[in-house]
Amino acid sequence: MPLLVKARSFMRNLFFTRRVEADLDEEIRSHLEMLAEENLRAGIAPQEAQRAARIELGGIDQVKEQVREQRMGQWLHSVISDGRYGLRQFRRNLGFTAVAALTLALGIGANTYIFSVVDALLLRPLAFPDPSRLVALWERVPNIGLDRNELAPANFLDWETQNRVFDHIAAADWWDANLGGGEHPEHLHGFLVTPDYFAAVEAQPMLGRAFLPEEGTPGKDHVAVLSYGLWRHHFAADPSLVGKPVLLNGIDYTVVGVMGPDFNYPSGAQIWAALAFSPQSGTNRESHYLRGVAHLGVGISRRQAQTEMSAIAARLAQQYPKTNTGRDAGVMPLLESEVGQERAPLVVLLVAVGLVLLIACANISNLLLARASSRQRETAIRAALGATRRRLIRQWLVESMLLGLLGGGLGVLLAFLCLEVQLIRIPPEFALLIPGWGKIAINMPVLLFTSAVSLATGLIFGFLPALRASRPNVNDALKEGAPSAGPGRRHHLLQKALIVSEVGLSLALLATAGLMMKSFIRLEQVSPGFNPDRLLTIFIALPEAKYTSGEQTASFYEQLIERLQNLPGVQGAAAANMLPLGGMNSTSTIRIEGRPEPKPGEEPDANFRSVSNSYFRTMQIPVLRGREFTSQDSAMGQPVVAVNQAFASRFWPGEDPLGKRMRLSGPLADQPWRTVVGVVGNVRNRLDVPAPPEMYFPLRQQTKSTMAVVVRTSPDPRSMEASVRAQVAALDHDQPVFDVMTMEDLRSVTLIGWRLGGTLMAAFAGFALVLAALGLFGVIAYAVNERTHEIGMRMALGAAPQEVFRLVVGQGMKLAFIGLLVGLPLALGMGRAVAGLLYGVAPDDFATFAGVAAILAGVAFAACYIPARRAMRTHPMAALKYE
Amino acid sequence: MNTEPTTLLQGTLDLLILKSLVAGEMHGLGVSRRIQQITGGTFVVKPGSLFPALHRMEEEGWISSFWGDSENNRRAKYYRLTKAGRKQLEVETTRWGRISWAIAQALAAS
Repeated sequence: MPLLVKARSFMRNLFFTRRVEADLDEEIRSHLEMLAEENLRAGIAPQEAQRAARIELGGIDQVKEQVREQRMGQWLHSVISDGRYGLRQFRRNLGFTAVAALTLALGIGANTYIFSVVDALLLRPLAFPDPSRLVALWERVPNIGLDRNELAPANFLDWETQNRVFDHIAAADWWDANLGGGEHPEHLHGFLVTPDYFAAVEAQPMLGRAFLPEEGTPGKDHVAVLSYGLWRHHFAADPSLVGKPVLLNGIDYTVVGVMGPDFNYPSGAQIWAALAFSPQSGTNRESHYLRGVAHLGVGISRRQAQTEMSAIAARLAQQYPKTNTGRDAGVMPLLESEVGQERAPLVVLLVAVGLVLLIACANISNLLLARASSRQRETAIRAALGATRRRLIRQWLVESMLLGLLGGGLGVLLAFLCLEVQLIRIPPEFALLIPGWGKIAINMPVLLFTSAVSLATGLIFGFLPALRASRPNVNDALKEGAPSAGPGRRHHLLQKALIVSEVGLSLALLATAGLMMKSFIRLEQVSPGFNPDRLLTIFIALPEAKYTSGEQTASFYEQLIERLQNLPGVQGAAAANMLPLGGMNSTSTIRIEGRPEPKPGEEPDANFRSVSNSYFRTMQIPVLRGREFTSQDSAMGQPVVAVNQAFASRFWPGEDPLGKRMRLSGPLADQPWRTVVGVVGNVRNRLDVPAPPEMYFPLRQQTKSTMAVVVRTSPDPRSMEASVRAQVAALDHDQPVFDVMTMEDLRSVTLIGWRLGGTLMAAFAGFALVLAALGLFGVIAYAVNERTHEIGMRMALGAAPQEVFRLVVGQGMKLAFIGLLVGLPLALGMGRAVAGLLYGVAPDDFATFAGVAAILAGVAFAACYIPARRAMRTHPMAALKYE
Repeated sequence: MNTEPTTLLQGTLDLLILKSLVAGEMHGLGVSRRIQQITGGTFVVKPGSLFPALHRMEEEGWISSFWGDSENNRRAKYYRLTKAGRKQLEVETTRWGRISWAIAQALAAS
């Protein structure tokens, strides 16, 4: 096959150059000898025969060169030789190479680092081979801006039976599974899923099988699929586990399958069990707690699916106006649904590192431009010997791209180090829940990205110098002793333009960093409404099979709190079903006594928590009016509620809330009217969001089996972990605890986006600032050097050193100020782009902008100062000596 | 007949080399002499054109080469047609036929 022959020739030319050359050499020589023999036979004298043969051949080297030019892969050869030449240049200019490579390493390293995070968290957080057909399903209430509401079971069941757009549809519910039977009880993060779940996300168990349709019915639902991690670490990777029972929450479940190591959905899941709806839950349209996923049918687009689901939702709203009025369905790409919050800050960081790299490029361009003029002679000689302009440009670009690759290689190392030392740290309990977090690494896609960036970087910074250098003035450059040809006005203009853009980009980065840092500092100062110092928090999920009554459950927590309070080093202990700052809420619609019945879809709602009597005291949440809960607030006692200030001022503005009554509506409508006995301070669930209206119920009157226990300690809370665990074990040896954290951890996790965004941005902006300063310094120093003659002349004519100083600094500062002016709109644009990430600071905050502009101007002054001082000290004699 | 060797038309060299190799394998000088012979001395191929063409055609897979002994027991590089080369010869021949017919038509037109 000709193609094969061509490929073989190409490879041979490339890798066996010496043999190919020797072959050619011999062929030409034998040809020459045969020509000579021919001449001899024709009766020509030996001497003359040789000569005639040579004439007919026409120059051995020329023939060879002509053959070489025909060869396949010739271009590659010349690129390689350009590369070799470039490497020699690097070795000859070690200083330049080191500065350029380090600058690039920092720039490309930052890009690699951020991209590795973006790749893992945004691009491929779910280990699904092809997530394009997978969608997440949500209920939506557009009227109140609710975009992602969990599904109510009965709505899900109707969606499941009525839709014709999905080939698989499933729902999942959080599940606290206590794994028994071992040495130590262990809590597992589990999910209850409807049987079609694994098919809906295109996953299959590595061992055993997924759930069968009939396992979605009550009584047959005690089957479980294990995650790979659980199977390995808890069951020693026992291949015969499938079919055997495991004890979960005191009930025997049959293991039917084990998932592969890559499957991690929902993020952090350790076990999945079949979800069966009881007759009651199967008709519930008011409790929204299911997460829906579905797989688009063949040939169905997401848009079509959305239209169909909206139509179904509209039908349901007509059919069940009381619960479904205003409720739409949302069909979202699964990827988009999973990565919500992290996207914006990561994209900002990615843009920022991109800008930093551009600044680095501008800097290196400037260095290369300076070098282009010092290498003019060399270029001129090459041009005189017949190198075409294209050839000259290519040689420069090959050199630049090599430099880019060198910087890229170092950058990868740098990024690798950053990942190794865990520049970004998150408590492992949280890291588990961030899809893709565990997969941040320098892997193949990241390396490909970095290689592409490195080459592109080389092209970008090498482009202008290559154009410049490839147009040498051969005549002038070759004249011996000619003043090393001044690079000319256009050259200077180019350098100045580069500096101006560096300063402009730096301003944009500094301003963004300033805004984000300020937001972070503002948030740090926000009081959450309670005292987060030295609080240990643990979670306990009491299995309902064992703790069957609310009475039993409440007693367990009350006994535990009492035991904990008696521990030395404990100042107080309490329990609540949801912690503040955790970002989790339970919300319910409510009715206020004496108010008219609200229209469907316009019911007021509020967050609610069940708390132990000691909760406000322990958390140090101020009780502003009335009282905290006491032992009278038992299941038998009068139903009571405490509300926060936001609740009081929203529902009883200007009135005394004490003694007023309210009750829950919706799924909890059977609940009694409750009397307000206390008003407490607002507590934030997220630091950046003001507290919404919130209610607190006494634990005895609204019991939850899964509770967070908080312990205020005198020593470091982490040091008390073991004794707190021991108290739980003393009460119930089989009861595991989970998510053991300190409130400080929780607080820092809620701030992590801002902290990382702010500090990384500040680091990048600082780097940009240094680069811009170095660039300015370089250009001014270069200009001073070039003008030594002129400055000496001025001094000789009587200019004062101060005037020279002003002249030089003025030149630099002019550039800096133009840069600031150019950068201002860019900075304002960036500020607006990150507005969503800011807290307590306007995107055009004057103080921030003025501050960073002042910093830039100060640094620019410093960068001009050194060359200006040197210019001041120019001796008038220099005017004569120079050159 | 003009005794000055005519400059080769672009593309004809390949055709001539392929055609000359139909007679059997030969070395570079042989090819050159053969062309001279079959064109009645009209075309003389210089080594500066011949060798680049031979090497290019070998890389195209139309001809293959091997080392052998010449008539005077001298080591020489021989070329022979490959299957792809025979096909190429057909292609070039029809194309040349078309060109020469077209040129003849053009010249015949008044």
